[in-house]
Amino acid sequence: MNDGLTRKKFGRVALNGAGIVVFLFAVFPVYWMVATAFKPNDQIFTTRFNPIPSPPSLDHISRVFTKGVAGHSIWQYLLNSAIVAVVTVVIGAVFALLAATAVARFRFRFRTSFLILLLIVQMVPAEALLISLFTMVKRLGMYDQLIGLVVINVGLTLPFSVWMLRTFVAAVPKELEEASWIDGASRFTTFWRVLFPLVAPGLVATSIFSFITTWNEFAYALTLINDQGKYTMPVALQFFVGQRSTDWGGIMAASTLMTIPVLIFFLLVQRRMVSGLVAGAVKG
Amino acid sequence: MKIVKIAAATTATAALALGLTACGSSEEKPTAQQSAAETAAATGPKYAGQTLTVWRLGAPTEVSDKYMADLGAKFKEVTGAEAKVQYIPWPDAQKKWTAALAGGEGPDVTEFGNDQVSAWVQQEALADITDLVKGDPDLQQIPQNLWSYETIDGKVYAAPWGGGTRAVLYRKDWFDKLGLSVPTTWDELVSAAKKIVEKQGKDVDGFAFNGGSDANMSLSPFVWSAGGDFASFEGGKWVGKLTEPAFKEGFQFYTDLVAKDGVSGKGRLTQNSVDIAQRFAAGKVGMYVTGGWDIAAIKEQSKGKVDESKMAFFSLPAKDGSGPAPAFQGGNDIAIWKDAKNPELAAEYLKLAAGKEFGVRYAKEGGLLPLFPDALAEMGNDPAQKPFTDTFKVAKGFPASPNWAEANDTKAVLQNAARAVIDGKKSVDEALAAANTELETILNQ
Amino acid sequence: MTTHTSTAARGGGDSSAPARRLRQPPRRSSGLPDWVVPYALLLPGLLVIAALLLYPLYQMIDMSFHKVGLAQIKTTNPRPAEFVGFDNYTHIFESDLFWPSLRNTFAFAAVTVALTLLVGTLVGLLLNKLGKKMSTFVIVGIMAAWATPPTAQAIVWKWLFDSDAGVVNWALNLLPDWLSELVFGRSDWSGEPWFNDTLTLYFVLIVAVVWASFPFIAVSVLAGLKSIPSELYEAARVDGSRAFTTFRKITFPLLKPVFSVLMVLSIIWDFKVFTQLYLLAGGTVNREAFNLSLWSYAEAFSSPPKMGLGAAIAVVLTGILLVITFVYVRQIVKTEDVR
Repeated sequence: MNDGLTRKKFGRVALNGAGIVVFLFAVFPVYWMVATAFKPNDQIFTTRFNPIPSPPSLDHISRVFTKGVAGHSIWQYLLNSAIVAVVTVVIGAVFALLAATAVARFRFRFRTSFLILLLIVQMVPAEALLISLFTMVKRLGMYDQLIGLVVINVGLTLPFSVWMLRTFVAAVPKELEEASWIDGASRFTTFWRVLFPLVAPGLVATSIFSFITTWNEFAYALTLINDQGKYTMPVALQFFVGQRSTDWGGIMAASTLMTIPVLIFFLLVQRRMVSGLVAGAVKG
Repeated sequence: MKIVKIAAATTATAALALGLTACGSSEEKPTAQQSAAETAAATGPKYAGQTLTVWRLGAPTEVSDKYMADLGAKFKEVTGAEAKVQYIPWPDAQKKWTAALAGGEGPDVTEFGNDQVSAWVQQEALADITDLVKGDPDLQQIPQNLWSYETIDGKVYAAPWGGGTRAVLYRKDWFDKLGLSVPTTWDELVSAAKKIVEKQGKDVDGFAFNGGSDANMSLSPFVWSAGGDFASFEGGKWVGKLTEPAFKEGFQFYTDLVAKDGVSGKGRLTQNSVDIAQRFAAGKVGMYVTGGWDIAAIKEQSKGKVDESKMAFFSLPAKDGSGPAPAFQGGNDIAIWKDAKNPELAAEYLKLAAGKEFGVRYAKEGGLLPLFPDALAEMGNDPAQKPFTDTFKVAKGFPASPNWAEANDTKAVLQNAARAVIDGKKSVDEALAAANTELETILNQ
Repeated sequence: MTTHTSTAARGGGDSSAPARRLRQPPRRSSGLPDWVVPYALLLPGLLVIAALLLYPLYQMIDMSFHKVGLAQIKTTNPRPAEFVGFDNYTHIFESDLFWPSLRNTFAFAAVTVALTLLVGTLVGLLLNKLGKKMSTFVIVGIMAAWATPPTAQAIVWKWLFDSDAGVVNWALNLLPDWLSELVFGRSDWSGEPWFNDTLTLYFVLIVAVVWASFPFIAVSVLAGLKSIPSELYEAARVDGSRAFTTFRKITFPLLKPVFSVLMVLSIIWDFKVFTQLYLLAGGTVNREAFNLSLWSYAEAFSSPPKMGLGAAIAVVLTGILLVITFVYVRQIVKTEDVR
């Protein structure tokens, strides 16, 4: 008994230790980015190993906030990025969930073709589609508008989301749905009350993926938008790269700022995934 | 033929697929604008109410904002039209122009790097401005030899806006401390570099080797000074000159800086001038080839530790000390987009911007050399600028082929040849023979 | 017993779809006929894909048989594109750079996919085991890695491996000399360049890419674990099943579909890695380090763009990926599908 308890305790310590190692590996480069944002220039362009900004400087951070980027406040770019990313995630999640249910729950003509088509879309190098897709969206009348970016990002993230969600929908025991039908629930109620809660963790994972992909998307954000005030953060970031020198401090400060909203988004949605909501839903 | 069909079909598919009525709305806009402008034109100056879109490269600074505002105000005074300025990040200008061409939503007037002009003329992106240039007294004052990049098959497609050339930036304080004087021959250059490595530390580059994206700007003065060149246009096609003895001499000297003389670290064979500038700011470089703009950048990056009192320029000497070696003639241009909505209005803007008043101001405020001879001469009175104005007089260009950019940095023909030699994988002759064949293939494709 | 439970949870896979449909109770509250339902569900997604991507895909294939520059795709007065047959394709296979790039791409993808999946899965399992506070703490950490903008990622890794100021050389120098000698055959790491040699450059690239992509795998695996009804584990616990057996019998079979998808997608992404390589290799100046993406960029997508050639490269790349992933895709689509 005592022996078992010690072993259990030891196991817990080992697990937490492993967790800390993973955390450090993941965070160290991020720390370096943040630290650089606080380093004065002569500490960035040094040839000595220099892990801690000493003394730390707010030069880069305050410059990014007070001077803005390319004539607009940094908030403007963050806002544009947030609009595009959030709308993309919401639309993308709905579309993907519907399509995933179709391919996981029904057998119909072109089902396999549809799945493979989605994969092919992922395989093609982005550069090869850039100009055609750009022309396409322009013809739809969405040039120089954030909605155009939303449409493109939905298109770019949908294949992944459908493939991913498909496995989650398929894993939900069919019997649960049938039970619900027998109880007289409509298709929609069944979907909403039975399927949705069980697929929620998968939905969270794909939403995070879509959010980050959209948040960092650069090529279309650059080409499709012309109005300086509608650029997103990745484009703003490029303004720190000059013809003849690059403002690394500024880039790192802006990159740090850019990372924060993703973490906020994650904290907002992660509860659905980490908590043990699933078990309850099955019983209910 | 095929593509025309594609374009037409695209519209149809798009409309069918989404059943949108928005299709084609973007094409209507210019017409609407134009008619509005026409009504306005009847009442005010010739172009009153019209808007001109101008693309500038890079991020706006206070200086450039002021410049564009003044230029815009003058433009409005002359024509009555507004100039709308949009800034494009430098590294992505290519993508933006490509999309502009494919989508038909480009600028009216745009800034350009002069070595990119021929590539974009080949893509039919720029308007022919030969008549405009020939008929403008201001632009005629710019010396003929400065129009080489802009002139293709006898037609002019852009106006030079500001010039640039490269010289050697060196640590003046180290030279003083070590009792070195400014080198006037290649031998002196090497011995000064060796002394710096010896006294300042093994991790210091006495004369930094540039093997990165802009390596040819650093290699070319040696080659040209020895009497060689990269390629020449003979009998309707490009002939590579890399295997000629003069080219080989310059190339050999350049690779020997690392391989034989050891004045630049073997671990940094792909660094470009931006990377070198960062090491210079950290006190790890004695000399390297760059432009005047780096003084400000280095002062900024070193937070004032390496300032004007510690660095200065000299013109890279010819091998035997007979004067400055020719260096790359770079610079920025201004051009009219071929799809410009109103080419005449765009022409007015270009004349104003590249003309003497705003042309000289653009160059000076942007850290470039003015193209008008008297302004250039005046600038040469400043000892800090003299190495550049001296070198600029003998400056040369790379082969004026639209495909040069591919050989220069995307395929990096000479950078790879130099690395093969330094790593001992090939002899100089082998490397240059292979590079020559490749260069000819690229230029003649 | 456990085996039985897991099959049951997957919906009793044996019964064929049509047979089951017969068993289904009659619908009362849905107005749509059965066969329309999947199409209706698919419609919004299909519209986006079709409207945006199908036509460009077709255009890409068409372009690969033409000589196309920007002058040919302009909106105003485009020029006709010259039909060149398979010239673009011949050019690819005859290029000196194709085969080395292909080799780099394959080697990189093989190592990186394996490492990413391994690390990601282990971390996902770990997160599932950890207490609530600790797991949130670690998740936020790995999310930060994932969320870092790609440019910043590449540059930070470049700095960490910098020959003079990098933490890696600094840390290697801290190792006791005898140990360093024993493992690496050297003790002085000052100024060791990592980005000159193709092999070490790719080593850094692998570290950087695994670092950036394992969080995604971990989070997906965790999501998969969370969607396994906990009743199954309870049943296993009652049976007295050991941890490893539980993993083999319950966790793995249930996660397998997720794995297959993650694997296919990781192969696709790692095959196409570009931004990190471009920045770590200092642009296109080191051609021994080219992978297919970087090579195609140097060949076709940088100015002046050769769009026909670029399209042909894209077609070849897609073809290669289809062949590689074919086995998995077929397995996914055929076996563990509609039950």
